[in-house]
Amino acid sequence: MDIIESVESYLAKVGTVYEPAFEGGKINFGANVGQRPVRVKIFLTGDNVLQFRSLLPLTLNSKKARELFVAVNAVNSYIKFGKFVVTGRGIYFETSRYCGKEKKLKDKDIGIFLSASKQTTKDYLIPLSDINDGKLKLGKFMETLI
Amino acid sequence: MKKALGGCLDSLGVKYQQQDDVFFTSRGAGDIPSGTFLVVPADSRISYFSAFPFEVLAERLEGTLVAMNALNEIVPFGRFYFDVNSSDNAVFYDQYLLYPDGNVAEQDIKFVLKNDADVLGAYGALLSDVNEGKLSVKDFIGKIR
Repeated sequence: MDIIESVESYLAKVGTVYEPAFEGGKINFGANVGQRPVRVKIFLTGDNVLQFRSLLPLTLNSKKARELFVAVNAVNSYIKFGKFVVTGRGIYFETSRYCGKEKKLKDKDIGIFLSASKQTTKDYLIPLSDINDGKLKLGKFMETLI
Repeated sequence: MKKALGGCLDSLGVKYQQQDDVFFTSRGAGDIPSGTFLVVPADSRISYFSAFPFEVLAERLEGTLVAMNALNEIVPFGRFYFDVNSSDNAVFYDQYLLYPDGNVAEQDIKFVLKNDADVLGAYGALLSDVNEGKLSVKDFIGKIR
């Protein structure tokens, strides 16, 4: 079983409905975080790195750009792994797990990787989008990090 | 885990100094010398940090953050950030490896070291130029894409 099949097997076990990867490519599924739709992609890069990416689509607010970049950097400085990135399409969270030349991970390791990725997405993606929308002040957000 | 990591670094020919849980290495990457260090904390994680030899200037903060965000978009492994908890406004490129079983694989350490050299060699000097105002963010993004 290759790494993508192992991830699919894990997702099926925990009851996640996903679009099966075509020829070992990307796994896609949708999720709701704070009633906002998030698109999740899981795939293996050419460097044998397993990537989890959760995208919250939104229109970037140019008036809040500075606050958003400061907040995203603060989160990246604070969280233990992964990164948040601002793009023209929205904000995404990405985590990477090096799988070695064997391209294998144990079921337990896949579980740790996916559940930690899911939790970090839940904890920060919506507050960051609230900063973009002007619903949350940067100062208030920073207080939650300290 | 510390012993295993030391063994890996020895066999890879990497010079280092160990102080408690931290393995310090110093290696240039491209034109920009980087202070690098590996850490072995208690949670089965090896983090490989490269500290940039510059501090973020207040007047360049926004541009440097946008540039780091652009780098985070393209580097497949690791992340750039300006450490909000440090008093010296340090910028880091940080990669990590997880070893729930406490084993350390030489191929993984080799991967992280190579990735660090590749990423800093390609982008380190450009990021420094943005921070110093020698390169606009727009030109930076044009160069890295």
